[in-house]
Amino acid sequence: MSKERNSWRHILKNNLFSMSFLWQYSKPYFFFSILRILTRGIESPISLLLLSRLYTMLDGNGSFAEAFYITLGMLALKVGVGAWNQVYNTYITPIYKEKLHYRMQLEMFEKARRIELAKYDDPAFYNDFILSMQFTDSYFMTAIKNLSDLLGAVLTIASVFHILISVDVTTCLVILISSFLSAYLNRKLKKVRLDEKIALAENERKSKYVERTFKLSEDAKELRMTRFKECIDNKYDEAAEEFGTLTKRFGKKKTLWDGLIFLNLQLVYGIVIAMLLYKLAVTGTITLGEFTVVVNANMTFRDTLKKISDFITKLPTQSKQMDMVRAFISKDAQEEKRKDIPALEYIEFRGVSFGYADGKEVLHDVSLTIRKNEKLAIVGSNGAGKTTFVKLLLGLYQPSSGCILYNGIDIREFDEESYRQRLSAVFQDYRIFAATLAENVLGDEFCADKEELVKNALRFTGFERDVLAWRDGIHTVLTREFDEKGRNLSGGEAQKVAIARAFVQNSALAVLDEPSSAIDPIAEHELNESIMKYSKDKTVVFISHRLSTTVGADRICMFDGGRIIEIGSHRELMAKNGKYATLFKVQAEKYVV
Amino acid sequence: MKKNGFCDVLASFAYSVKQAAKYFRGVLVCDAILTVCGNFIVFFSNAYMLRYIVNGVQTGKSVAALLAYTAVVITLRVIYELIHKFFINVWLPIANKRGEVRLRKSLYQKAVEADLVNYEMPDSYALFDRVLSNTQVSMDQTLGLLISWISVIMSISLSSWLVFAIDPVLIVFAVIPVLLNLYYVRLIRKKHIYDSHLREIERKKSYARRAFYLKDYAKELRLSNIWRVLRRQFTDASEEYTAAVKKEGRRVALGYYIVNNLGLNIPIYAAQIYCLYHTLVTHTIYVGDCLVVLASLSAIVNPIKSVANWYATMSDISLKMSDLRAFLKKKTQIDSARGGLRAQAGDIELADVSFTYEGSATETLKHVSVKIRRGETIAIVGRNGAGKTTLVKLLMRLYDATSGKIMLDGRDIKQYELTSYRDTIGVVMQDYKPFALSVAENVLGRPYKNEDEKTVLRALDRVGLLDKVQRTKDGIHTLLTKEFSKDGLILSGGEAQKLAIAAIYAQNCNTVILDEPSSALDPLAERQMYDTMRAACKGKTMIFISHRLSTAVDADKILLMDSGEIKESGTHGELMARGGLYAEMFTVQASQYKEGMKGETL
Repeated sequence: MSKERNSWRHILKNNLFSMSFLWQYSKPYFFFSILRILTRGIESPISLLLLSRLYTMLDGNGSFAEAFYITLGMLALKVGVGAWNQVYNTYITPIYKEKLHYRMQLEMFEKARRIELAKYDDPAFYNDFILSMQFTDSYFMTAIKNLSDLLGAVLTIASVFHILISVDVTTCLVILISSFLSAYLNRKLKKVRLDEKIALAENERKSKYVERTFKLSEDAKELRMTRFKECIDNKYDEAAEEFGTLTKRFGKKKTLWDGLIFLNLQLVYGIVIAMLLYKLAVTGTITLGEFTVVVNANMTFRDTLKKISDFITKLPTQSKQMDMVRAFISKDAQEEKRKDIPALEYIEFRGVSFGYADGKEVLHDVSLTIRKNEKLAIVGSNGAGKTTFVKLLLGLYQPSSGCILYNGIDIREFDEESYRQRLSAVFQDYRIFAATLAENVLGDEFCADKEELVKNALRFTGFERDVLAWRDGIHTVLTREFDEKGRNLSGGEAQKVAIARAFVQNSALAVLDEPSSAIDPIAEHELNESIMKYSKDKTVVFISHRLSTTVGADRICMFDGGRIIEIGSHRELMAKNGKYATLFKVQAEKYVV
Repeated sequence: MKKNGFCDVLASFAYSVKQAAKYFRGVLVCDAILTVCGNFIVFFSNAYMLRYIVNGVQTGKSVAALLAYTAVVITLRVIYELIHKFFINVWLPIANKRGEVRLRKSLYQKAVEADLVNYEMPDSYALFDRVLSNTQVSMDQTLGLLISWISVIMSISLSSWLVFAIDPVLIVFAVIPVLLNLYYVRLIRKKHIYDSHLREIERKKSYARRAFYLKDYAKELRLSNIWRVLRRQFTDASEEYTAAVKKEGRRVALGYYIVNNLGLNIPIYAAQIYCLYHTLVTHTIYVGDCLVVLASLSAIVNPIKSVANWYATMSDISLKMSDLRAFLKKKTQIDSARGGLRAQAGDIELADVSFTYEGSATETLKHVSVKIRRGETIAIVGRNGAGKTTLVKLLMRLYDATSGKIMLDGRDIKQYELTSYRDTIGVVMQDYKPFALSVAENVLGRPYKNEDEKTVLRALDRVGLLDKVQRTKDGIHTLLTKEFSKDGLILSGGEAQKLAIAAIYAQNCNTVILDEPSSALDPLAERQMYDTMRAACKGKTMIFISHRLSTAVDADKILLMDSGEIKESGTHGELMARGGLYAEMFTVQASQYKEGMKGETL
């Protein structure tokens, strides 16, 4: 019980917080919104009271002049409030909301950019993250909207109640009881709907899989070369059948509750009419006008009560979402960290272990020093921890234990952004952005004095010649996200852009995670040559499956099961005749006859 | 850009109704009947009943008669609603699903029959994607729209009838808003343009948001300053949005206010005054009638507000329908019906084969002629874009040659029945991923039958996967991936490759094609894969594409392709002796290895 109260207090707190945020971000919008709450809150009760007054006058005894003025009043209310609503909805809200949204998103972008990458691998965090990102937009308005809904409903119900009770107490009581009954039944119905939604979501996933299979171009070839289509059709039929069973099961329950709700509604409607008729025609205690008023108020009363009930059910879930957003918004500013990164001398891994969120450790106690201007090759079988190693090096992940030292300073002491500015990297799963080629290469905004830089980087990867032939050259827009004439790059082309991106920055340390997998042997060879030439006075750490590229490395680091099992120059490792030597020989065998 | 005039929208909508009638006839008819009944019953139990009672009291009808009327109407309403609730909760979703499955299956069938080219050209691929995602949605929209029309027409005509019966003059008040509507249609179109403009801007903003929040982009955002570009894009879009609202929004809003607020409310309240006057002063309108008028006028006039949404929905449907039409119109060049011969193992011959992609100016393959004898191992090597993959796709008959002929066993492959021809070929794709089906089905490439057990087990055993599969609870019926089952089996990259080979073995095909199957594998795994492959495919024709020339050394014949032609062909020894491009490529790759092997022995 106390917990319950506590959570209501929490909900209130969340709402107040959201409102205070709106106040902070945009005072004009805050005022406009409060004004809007007030108008919305009073419009419906006022028009209800006017209408009731009008009804009671209809018996023929009312004065036409009064009826005329009431009508004018109703019209003025509709027209006036309508005008204000129109202005608020089509002008004030879009403009202020956009401003708000813009400021808010920029802050969120900044935060998103600084979230530790490892968190992205934690599905629970990631789900929350994406959800709250979607929710931020409405976040500010939630409390205001809640307030407006609540105020509107309370005022309406108060005025309806006032009308009802002033006419007839017994009918009022009947309506009240039945309204609570329907609110209860509605909750039941909602529960069934929720259960059904959960059950059907599973089923929906199956249909989605079928759809995806036919859509994906990767599967298209296979579907043509085999008879998988029959299997998938069967799966689809199974899913449809399951859908039928589920729908029948839940549908019957829904019909039951839905039917009861309706029965309650209609029976009480009948009873109210009968009771009123009796009073109207037999005892004569109410007038015809009052009769109409009660019949109409009956409906309004129910609708509003249902709204309030829905509103209350919605609050806890909403509050949870607000918690999430709040957690992101109010993350404290990080401590000031060192921004002056000295020139690279060496990087040392000292007893570094690392595990992803699922708890499995993928690197165990790795110690290694990367020297200045060294070419270090990382080799090993799939899943040996190579990519994790370079991600740690880049400061994308934090070690679970041990530390990484840059010139002897723990990299956690550096401002992440400044640290990463010192490094550059190409990963296998690089992305091409919907921006110009130049921006994609620079990984930054383009300005005229950077033109040579871009061109050099493209020349470096052997892509410049192709680009020169394009009409817009380095300013060609990539991808068709925004531009129908945008250019979609082939796998090899995209990879060259990604490599150019790593080398344009002229950083002291470059990390290459299998950069040439989609490139043919000759182009690969040329690329390797230029990487080596370019990086004479640079440190390069590269992961490779093709061991031919490792021969020229200063040192080779062989990973296996998350540990470094061998390290040394090619000669040394060959002499050692361990795992590296075996691997190398397997690959070299056919070349060396 | 597609034309989206009023007539086009109507025509497309008609087409959509035709499609809906084809797949959802039962749903549509039942729903329509229930809607008509429902409108009658609601009308008589709401406005009409109130009028009946109030007028009855005023004219001194007996209370018993009034009560009886109420009881009958309410009973009818309850019966109707119970039927209706059952209908919408149980019958309708099931019937709808049935229609959806039929519709989707026919779309999927069409997608599978369509030429593979469609999946490779960005435009038509986007079309396929849209059609497969949106068609069902547009059917739902169409059905919903039709039903809401029936509903609106019913309620307008019933209310109008009632109002007209009370006092014909009142209809005048309802006509004014309808006339205003003529102007409204233009306004709606303006609003539509405005809305789509805003949507376009929204899309730009959401791209930036996506890039900032999605995992795929996270690394780049941290390692480069590309976020500045994204932030600028976002800022531009945001400013564009505000400008659009300020400029266009104001005009649209004013128009809407005039039509939807002033245009509706002034006539309604004028009618109210008219009625009140006759009830209170001249006493020519009964109280009950007056009440009905107050309630019904807005029922006649209010649906006008939804016209705007109708038009928006219709033009939305119309866009989706033009996609569907384009999709259904796609002609299939590779016709599965032609040619009735059953294909068998044999020599393959390409005679002067050329191929040009649709819309491309240059030939991707130029006069390729080559003979592949049954049981030979062929390696296809060459630079990116040399035409290797295209050649292989022609062999699989995923494309047909633009000119020239491909022959199997001396006959043009077009003379064979398509599925029978393709059954002779097994393929291991570059990034093979198993389907979310059972192990057995993945191995067989078709539904499982009881007599298949031995075949599946033998194939799994052959590639060394049997142990792993048999350790699972359901054995060969274990589902792969977690798509359909929490206990689904996840295979590592190497295991997936093994499964692909098992499939080739089980499907008993004569020709095996490998399109760079090893690019994702580490050297040892690659080596194992080739060994397993060779063992499993003894006696079969094997054709593989590879960037690592070491795998080509043992091939019976190496085809070196360059800009769409076979420039060199022969064994490794022959090509090395020739000193051409192959020798150059091989030497380049070998040099480092040779360097590394100095002083070593294998």
